[in-house]
This record gives sequence, structure tokens and C-alpha cells, in this order.
Amino acid sequence: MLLRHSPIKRKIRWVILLTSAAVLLFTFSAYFVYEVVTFRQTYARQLSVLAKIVANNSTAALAFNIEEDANEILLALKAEKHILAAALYDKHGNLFTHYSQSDAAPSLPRHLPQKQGSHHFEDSNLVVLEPVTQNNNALGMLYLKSDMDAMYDRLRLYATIGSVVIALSFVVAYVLSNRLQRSISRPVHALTRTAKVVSEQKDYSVRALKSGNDEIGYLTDAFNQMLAEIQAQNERIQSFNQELELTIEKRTHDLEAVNKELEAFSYSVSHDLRAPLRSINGFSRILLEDHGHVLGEEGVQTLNTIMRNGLRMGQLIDDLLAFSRLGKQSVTRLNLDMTSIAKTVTEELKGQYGNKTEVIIKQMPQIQGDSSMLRQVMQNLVSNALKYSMKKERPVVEIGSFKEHGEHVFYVKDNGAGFNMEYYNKLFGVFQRLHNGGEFEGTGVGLALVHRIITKHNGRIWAEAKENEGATFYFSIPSTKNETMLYE
Amino acid sequence: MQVLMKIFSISRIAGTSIAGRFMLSAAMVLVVTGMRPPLQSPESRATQVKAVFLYNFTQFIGWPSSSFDDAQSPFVIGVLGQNTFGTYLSEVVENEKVNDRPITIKYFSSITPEVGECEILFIDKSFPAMKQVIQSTHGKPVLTVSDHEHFTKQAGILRFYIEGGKLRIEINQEATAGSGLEVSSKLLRIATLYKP
Repeated sequence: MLLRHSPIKRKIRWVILLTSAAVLLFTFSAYFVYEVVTFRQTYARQLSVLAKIVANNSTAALAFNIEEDANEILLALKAEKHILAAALYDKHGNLFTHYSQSDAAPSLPRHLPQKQGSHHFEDSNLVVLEPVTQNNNALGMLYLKSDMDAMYDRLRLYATIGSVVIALSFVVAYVLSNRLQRSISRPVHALTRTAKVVSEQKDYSVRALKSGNDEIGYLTDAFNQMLAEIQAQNERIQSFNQELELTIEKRTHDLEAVNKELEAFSYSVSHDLRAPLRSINGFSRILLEDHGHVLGEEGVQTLNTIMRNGLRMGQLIDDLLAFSRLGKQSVTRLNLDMTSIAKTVTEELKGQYGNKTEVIIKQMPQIQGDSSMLRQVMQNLVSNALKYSMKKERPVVEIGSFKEHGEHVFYVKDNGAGFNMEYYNKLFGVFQRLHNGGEFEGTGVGLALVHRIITKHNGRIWAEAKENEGATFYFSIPSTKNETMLYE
Repeated sequence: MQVLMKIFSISRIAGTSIAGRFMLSAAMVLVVTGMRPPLQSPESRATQVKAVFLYNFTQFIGWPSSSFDDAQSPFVIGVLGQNTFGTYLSEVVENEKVNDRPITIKYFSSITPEVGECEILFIDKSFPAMKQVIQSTHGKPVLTVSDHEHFTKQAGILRFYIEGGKLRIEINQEATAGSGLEVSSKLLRIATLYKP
């Protein structure tokens, strides 16, 4: 319907106009029908009363065959202009006398019409047949023919009045609806205007004007209340945001300072620890080489333990230095072929873990990243995989990748010792080890380092594992547009 | 009336040809006038009309209940003197009733006490003792009718006369006074009033 998209103002006006028009038309039609029906009945009744009077008067004329008298009686009908013709028939049905309004010969039946009693409508005329009786003795029949002009006149008048009334009512309804619709459409319009200002200019400080205490007034109140609420909330959020920004700035600043301090500290500690450690290791080797034969078997063994632990400590310091250095390093993004990195790393490490592991390297894509850092990641993960699966009968390590949510996800999967997922949150912490040193060697820095590198590449790292069944380490690197796709 | 209806039903079946209609109306006259060929002379036609008028008087005149012995008493039309009607009068009133009373026709050749007990008494104009008849019925509820020229002059109530080829009625209103007869104003309207 077209009305659906027109303004409320027009809608209300149309509703009022159409409703009043429908009511008027219906009422008027009902009256018109009623008028037609009742008029026909009334008119037939009137004519039949007239016929009864005339018939009653003409009994003697019929009984004693006095035509002049009968004529005189019928002539009296002249006063009724709607009577077209009248006739009296005798007992035998023969035309006795007749009267007709106009000079034109009336179409009167020579003999009594067959339809007897009561009345009937002939074309647009009403015909009444009235028996002429005296003391219940039939003497003849009276025939009256009347036009229905009276009815048509009346209906015409009625239709004219009706049309005028409807037209006037329409005008009045239009004027009234124009007046009345304002009380509804104006507040709605005002509300709409305010809503428009709010939604278009994002100005929450405007308020709609309330016009009354009806539903629209309530709506206006609710609307204004909502606006006030939004405004207040906006202010609160803004001030909160400012506060938060300040806090964050301060915290970041603090954190950076602390971090720098910590890194400088750990760097200098690690660096400074190396010098005495080098002395311990050097002099231990000299002691073993120059005086080993004096120390005896037990002495040599003790010295070897000292040297081994010294080397381990050196490794630990190296790892720590690498880890802390990473904090200062920035990522240099270059095109990297992950497949060749994985191959090289595997070649280098395989020998260390007894060469018995089957390493499957799948085709992996080129990505953009820091060459040495990602080599470090691959090295740590592969060496972990080789290390923890070494004690299995048929160790298998698989390196591969897939694409997911616009990221390249790489994984290193082994069927080794695995770990308990309960301790997952300790996995990527510094110096955190899930296995003791006696079982598997390690410094506890490797995964922390990996975590740090991946985070610097805007990627994520996670793992899945089951004790004694193996572990899978995943890391993701966001894919960039200019990299070469090597797989689908 | 029943006869009339029958005729109409016949005419309805017979269709609408003019010749057929004519035949039918001729037959109708035959039926109504007593199933015999109509009398040809104007005089006998007048006699027929008189017979019908005699019967029609019963509709426009009221008789007091004292004129009947009891509820079963018939309505008597008497014909005094020469019977010019033949069987026609009895055919006209056959099966007809006046206020639920059957109609009996009695013929008299002379004045008997019974003459005064008639409700309608028709005296033929050839009856010689007109005056005596009128005197013997005076003050009684007897409607005296005659086609005698001086009947109303002699205080008879109704007189038939011919005018313009039509049978007319003259009434002597004074003659009805004291008789108990009630003459309808409708009859008075169409009748000629006798003025002495």
C-alpha cells in the first residue's frame, strides 16, 4: 500500500476521511434501500386504500348499471396526478367504464386482467385490482394504474440531499482531520526531527519538546531520558578513557624503565659471570692435563664433573644472554624459505641425538621474517623434539605447516615423552622445566626464547601434548601479501 | 362467483386469440344468463335486468330482524300478478343468500296475507289492484317494486323506468318511512328521487 510510506500526517487524514466516507456511504445506502422498499410498500398500500374507497363508492353504480355515476366517481381521481388510468369491470369481467389521465388512449384491457386481488408492478407502474363488493357479494372489479413518479421524485430528492450531505461532510471531515491530525502528527514530527539531529550529528545534548501526557509524551520523556543517559555515559567513558590512557602511559613508562634496568642487569650479570667461569674451566682443563696422573681415578672423575657443570653453566649464560639480547633486537623481515631452514637445522642436529630418528619435512611456504631468529625457533623446537623422542624405539618427528585464518601455522610434532597439560602454563616461562635434568638435559630457556621471537613476529605459539605419547608445538606467523604461495 | 372463476380459468387455457375471446365472452353471457339462448327483444332484455336488480336490492337495503319468523326463515321475493320473468328470476337467485338466508321466490296472482310477509314484492304493471297492494303492505318491512308508471305516485317504494334505453330506478323515500326498511345512501345516490 502506498500509504505505508507516506507521512503520519497524511495517514491520519486519510484514515479519518476514508472512515467517515465509508460510514456515510453505508448509512446513506441503507437509508436509500429502506426508503425504496418502504416507499413501494407504502405507496401500494395508499393506492390500495384509495382503490377500496373508490370501489366502495361504485358498488351501486355497478349493481344498477349507472354508467354516469361510475364515471363521475372515477373522474374524482383526477385530483391524484399519479393515477394514469382507472377502470371498472362488471361482474362478468367486461369493461364497464374507464378514466384516463391523458387523452391518449389508455392501454386498458377490454376484459378483466387475469391477475386478481392485491397489487403488482407493471413496467414502472403500479397496478392495483380491487374487487367491488357489497355485503360480500361480488359486483365487479376496480382497476387502478399509477406511475411511480412520486417514488422517483422522492428518491431523486433523497439522492440530491444525500450527495450534498456527503459532500459537505467530506469537506467538514477534511477540515476537521487537518485540525485534529496536528495533535498527533506534530509531537511525532518533533520527536522525529530530534531523532534525526541525534543520529546525523551525533549530538546527544539536544532534547525533544514534550507536548502532552499521552503516549507520545511518554515516548518523548523516555527518548530524552535515554539521550541524557547516553550523554552522561559518554562523558563518563571519555573521562575514564583519559584516565586510563594516562595510567597506561605511566605504567608503560615505568615498565620500560624497569625492563631496561632488568635487561642491563641480567646482561651485565651474565657477562660478568663468564670471566670467572672461563677461569674455572681453563684451570680445570690445565689441572686435568698437567696433573691428571697424580689425582688418581676418583680425582679425575670429580674434575670432569666440575668441567661438565662449568660448560653447562656457560651454555646457560649464553642462552640468557641471547634471551636478554633479544629484547633489544628488532626484527628484520626478509623472505625466508621455511623448508630449507628446517632441512638445514635437522641436518645439523640429527647427529647429536644418535641419528636414529625419522624426520619428515613437509613442503612449507616462504614467509617474511627475521632469518636468524626463526632459525633459532626451528632449532629449538626440532632439538626439543629429537631430544624428547630419543628414548623411544622408533622416534618420528614431523615438521609441516598449514594456513588458517590468514596465518601460516607451522608445527613440529614428535612421538616422544610429551608432557602433562596440567603444567601447560609453565611451558613458555624462563627456567621452567617440566622434566628433570637427569632425564633430559636443558637450561629451561629455549621455549621462553621461542615464545619471545614469535611474539616479536606478531605470531602466537601453543602446544598440545600427552604424557608418553608425544607433543606438537605450533607457531603462527601472519601471512603478508607479497609472499610466494607454495601450497594451496 | 364460482361460475365466474371457472370462466376465467377456461379463458386462460384458451389462449389469447381475439376470435377465441369473443366466443368465450359470448359463452360467458350464456352461462351467466342461465344456460339458454339470450332473449332477443329489448323488452325481454329489460326483464332480465329487472331480475338482476331485484336481487341487487337485497345488497343495498336493510330489513329489520322482525320481518323474519326465526333464524331459519328464508328471504322471500314475491311476484304479484303476471310472471314476466319466466324461470329467469329463480335462476338469478339460485344458490344466493341474503345474510345467510336462502332466497325463496313466491308467485301470487291475487292479494293474500302472505303477500305482506314478503321481503321484496314485485308487482307487475298489469296488476289491477295496485292501490290495495300498497295499502296492505304499508308500514310493513316490505320493499314494493313495480314497473307501473304511477307506482311511486301511489306510495309504492321503487319504480323501474326506461330512460335512454336503460333501466332506471325511482325511489319514493317517504314511502319507506315507518316500514323499518333501511335504504343505503349508495342506492339513494344512483336512484331518482320521487318528488310529488
